[in-house]
Amino acid sequence: MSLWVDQYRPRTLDDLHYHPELSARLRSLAASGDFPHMLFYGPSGAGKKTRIACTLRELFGPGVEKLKIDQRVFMTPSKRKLDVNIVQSNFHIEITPSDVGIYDRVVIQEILKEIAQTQQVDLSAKQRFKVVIINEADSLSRDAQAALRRTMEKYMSNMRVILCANSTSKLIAPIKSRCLLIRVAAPSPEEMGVALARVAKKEKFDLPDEAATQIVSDAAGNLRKAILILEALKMQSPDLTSNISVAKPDWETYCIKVADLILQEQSAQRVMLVRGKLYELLSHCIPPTTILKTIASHLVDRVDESLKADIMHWAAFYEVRMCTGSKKIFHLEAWVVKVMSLYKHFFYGIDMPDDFEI
Amino acid sequence: MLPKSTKIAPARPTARSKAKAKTSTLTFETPPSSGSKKPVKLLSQPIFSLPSSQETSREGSVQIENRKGKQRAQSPVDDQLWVDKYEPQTAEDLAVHKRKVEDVRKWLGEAFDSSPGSTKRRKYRRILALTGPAGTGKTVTIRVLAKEMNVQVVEWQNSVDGGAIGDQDFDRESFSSKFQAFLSRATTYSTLTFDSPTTSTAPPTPSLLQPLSNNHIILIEDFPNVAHAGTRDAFHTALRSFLASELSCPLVLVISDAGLRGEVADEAGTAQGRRLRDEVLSIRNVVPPELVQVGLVTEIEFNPVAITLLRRAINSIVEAHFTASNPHLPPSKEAIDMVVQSANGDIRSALMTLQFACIVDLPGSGGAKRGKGGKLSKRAKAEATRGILASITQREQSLVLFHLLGKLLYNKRFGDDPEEKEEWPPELPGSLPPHLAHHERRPSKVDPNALYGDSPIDTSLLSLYLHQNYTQYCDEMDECEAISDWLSIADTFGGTGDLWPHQSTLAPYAFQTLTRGVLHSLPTPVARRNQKIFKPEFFDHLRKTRDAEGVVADVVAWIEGTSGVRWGEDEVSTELGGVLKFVDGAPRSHVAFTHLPYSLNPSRMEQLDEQDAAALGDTAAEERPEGTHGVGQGTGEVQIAEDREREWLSDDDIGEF
Repeated sequence: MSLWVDQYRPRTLDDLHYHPELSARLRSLAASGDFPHMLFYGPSGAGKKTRIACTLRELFGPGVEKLKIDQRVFMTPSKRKLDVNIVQSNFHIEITPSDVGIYDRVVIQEILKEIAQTQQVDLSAKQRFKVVIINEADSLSRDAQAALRRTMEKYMSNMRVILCANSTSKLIAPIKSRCLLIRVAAPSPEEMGVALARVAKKEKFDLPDEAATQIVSDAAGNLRKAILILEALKMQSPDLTSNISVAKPDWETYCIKVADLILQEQSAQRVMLVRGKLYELLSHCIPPTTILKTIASHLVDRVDESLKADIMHWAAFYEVRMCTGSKKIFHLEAWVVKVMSLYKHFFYGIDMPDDFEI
Repeated sequence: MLPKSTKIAPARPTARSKAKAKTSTLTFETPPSSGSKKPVKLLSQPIFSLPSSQETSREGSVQIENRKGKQRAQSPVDDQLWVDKYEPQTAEDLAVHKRKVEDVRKWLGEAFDSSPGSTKRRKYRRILALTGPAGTGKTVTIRVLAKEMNVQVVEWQNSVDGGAIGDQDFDRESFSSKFQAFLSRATTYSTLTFDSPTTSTAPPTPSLLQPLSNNHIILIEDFPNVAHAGTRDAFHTALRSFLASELSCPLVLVISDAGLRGEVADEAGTAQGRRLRDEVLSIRNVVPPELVQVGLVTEIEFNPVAITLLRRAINSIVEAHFTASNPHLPPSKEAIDMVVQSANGDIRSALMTLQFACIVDLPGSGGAKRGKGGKLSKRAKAEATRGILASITQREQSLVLFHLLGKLLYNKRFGDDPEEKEEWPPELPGSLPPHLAHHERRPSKVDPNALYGDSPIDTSLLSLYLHQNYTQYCDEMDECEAISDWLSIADTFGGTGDLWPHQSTLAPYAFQTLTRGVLHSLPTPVARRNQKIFKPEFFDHLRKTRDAEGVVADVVAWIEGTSGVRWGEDEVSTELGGVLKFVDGAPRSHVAFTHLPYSLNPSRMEQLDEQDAAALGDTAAEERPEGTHGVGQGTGEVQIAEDREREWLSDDDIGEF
């Protein structure tokens, strides 16, 4: 059995019930025959991938849904063999660069060249070009991005690229300028409520309003998360009527407790304790930026107004360090210690030394 | 059968065997009987080893040497390496821990145990992997035990005839088929041992086709290039088919693992790190992992030779070498101590150093017998010896990790002790302007430049050690804040970001930034609170992270399999936690990343001890599995406290170095 999120994913642009202008625009683009390269961006769970899939269907018809998974072997310059799973249909191909690590440039170049050099042989096909979807485009290495920009221009005649990213900030400018940027914003709470009701209707149960409200507020604009929570709740208590409590994932509760630890005491011993917790979070595959963000937002809720700006400033500061450096724990801990120090000085009313600006 | 192998076998002697022949002509004073002591090294086929011919050539060489010896009067020049000359002959001579020897002996005993009822166990006694750093006596243990059990050692060597391109008549065979053939032949046939005691009493025609599984061991030390995926697969296939074949002689793999160090590649971009890992020779890639898991391959891990064992071994060799007839004087006790200290548990290196050092007489050797030596003060003598040894061996002294951390963390500065009458270094001109006055420090006694030269570990690993331990040495949050910030800065120097494309050139700067930053930030003098130095927890957690990543990948694959939709790994690890618990069919192992119970127990830390510090010299101790020391979730506080008591060293003030 598959998850509800995947099972009840809208298939066509008409099924999409929010951002109607965006859907209309995509539909007319697909009809115009002059389809550009595109870059979909927006927060996670806003429906980027769904929209891409719908657009493809609009372009090529239901044939794109016939997927096959190929195992391909690529040869790196150092003669190492890479096995990569590639999802493709007759009309498009999907790549996730993080699968291949540092060799993303090789793999992307190979695939793009191959697609670009073959003509569409299916005469009944609606379009002459094939589409290459690159997921998680913001994790593409600089090399790969640079390699991409030339290919995008050169093989325009029989290939289009659709990139999908959370934010455009990690993409180089030449790529951004070659794409039509399409922002998929997070759905509003009402829109999410509609989506949840739709899932409930298809699963044939009644979703009480209170439960829906709670789920929506907890998911914070992430529709995928909302449907996942709904599924988890439904399995936990099938009636959904009694006052249910939306259980946060373990790691989120954990982050809140870490934030508590930071505010309770500021000492070297406490630093060690918090470090242990951070290590635990990291070893459960929680992305370090997510850890930083979650703890920071909980801290900010709890401290004096004058400290909030500083806490966020240093969180941003150390997040950049984290991207440059390699040992995530150092930067997370440096931020924790910084916050402890700020809080302690604030608590004892001592003036901060003026080393804020760096 | 026989002619076929003749065709396969390289017809001419390889470079290696030439070299061997040369050594044997130079052999001097070796009793002829040593031919039986040395197991015969075979090239690619065991059938054609003829130890008897070697025997004769050796006898011939002894005659020649004797004549030479007369010409040179009684000053024999012994150019055999001590390592070979004084190779241990009995299990008692081995400088290996008794228990390890016993483990290996037990294994071999079980492997050769042909009594009925042991067949089942023998199935699990086919492949033995000896792992451990270089020079810890892995190979010699096997040789000695084989001798003790009266079995032969048949060894595989990669052929070195790759250069013969123009040699058309030479039959080139791929590595894998050669190796497969070697394994099957070596398991089936005995060597043509004309001089072995067993065959001398046996009928003159030993049946070649009779499986002789009970009298030899196959030894593989010279591994094929396992970093190359194709060769590795071939090697793994050969091992698997060896296991699948009927019961026969045991196979021993000797793996000198190079180990990984706490370098950027270890923890950087996961895929990159994983790929680099494949290239290191270790049990993880030499042997197919599933064989280790089901117990078909036994691993016995050798640790660096303990100081006491090493000293005993060296002393006995020195005694054997510097007999009364030897005109040279034995090295002094201090010199031996220094050699032992600098060897980092590598007995081969220790012997090499010692032999090289004894080519000239060391100052102070023989004590008062030499008038010159007696006049020097003890300290000066030690200094001189140290100087000579330092020029011979560039290996760092083993306690350096303790020194290094102690020097940095205790942050000694001039004027710490007002009683002290040491001369301050000349002051720098001028003083800091008022707005920088809080950066004013007394001159430091630590010289980061010297430390950089002597550091036994790289900057990345040093930063992990400092990170693990700095909090104990701080009094105020401000100091913690400054140090953690310096650690963070130094880490960006070695990162994988796009900011600095040539990170290797930044290593010295990272070290300077790190050490000077830490020295500047620590209080002075550091309060003595009986601080202990702990090993970084980092690697433990890194391992757990890797495991969890594997599980996340499994879940991604599962979702892709059921619904054809590909999820991102971060989405799975952060959002899917709640649902997975209830979904049927999901991989059960998902708890590795979804289950995160909160407990207030501090994580257990392991203290750095001298053994580890010694081992850190050239291998990474932190990569060795140190037993299981997960976070003490289930254990109560009391248990942890006890563990800690046991792990701490007795009061040993590393700051005093």
